[in-house]
Amino acid sequence: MTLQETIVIIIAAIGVIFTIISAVGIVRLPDVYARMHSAAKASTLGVSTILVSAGIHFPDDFPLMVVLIFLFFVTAPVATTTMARATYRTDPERRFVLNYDDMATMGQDKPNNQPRRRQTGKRK
Amino acid sequence: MTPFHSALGILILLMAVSLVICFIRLFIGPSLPNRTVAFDTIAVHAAGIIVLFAMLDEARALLSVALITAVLGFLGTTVMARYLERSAESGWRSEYSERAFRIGDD
Repeated sequence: MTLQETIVIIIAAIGVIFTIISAVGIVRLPDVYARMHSAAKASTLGVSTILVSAGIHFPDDFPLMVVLIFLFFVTAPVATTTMARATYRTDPERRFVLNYDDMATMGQDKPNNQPRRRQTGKRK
Repeated sequence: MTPFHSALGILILLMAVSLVICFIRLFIGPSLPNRTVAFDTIAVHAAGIIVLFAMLDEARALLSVALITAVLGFLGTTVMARYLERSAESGWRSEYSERAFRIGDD
């Protein structure tokens, strides 16, 4: 293996490891919102390092890889935010693992838009 | 078969294992938001595997396929989120409420 191929394999391996960690988190974490947090790891850092390694392996296609990384970094937060908002609005219970609710006062015309704390149920 | 291609094959195998783990969540996900999160991650996995295959086969045309896969995965996630937000049926339960319900039944 040449030096370039070694660098390509190392960077791609970093991305694959992050993707596996993200997949394990999607299965293991207890809440929908926590799973979204874990899914963002694969869609930003995991796939962008794989794309950087492809850009090193194909030097002519490096601008396309930069465009793809930019696309992932723009679309992943948009998709996660849309998904989290839809999940929050259709959630009948609104109980969270993290015990803190930033969107609790959204849609209400309060002068001080302070998020209020919510009580979670007993962990059993 | 050079060591470079062997290492790329191992990486693609690990990505396939990760994809199977995501499909577990897609299968057992108790509600639609869980399955949408799993679908989003599966689309990202597809783009990564396609890029790794492009490096394995020296096929530069597959990089455009990865671009299209990324865009389609984003569109699918957004459409599912819009459907979930607009749909009249909102009767899904979170994990804690299901657990409390089950304990209360006993």
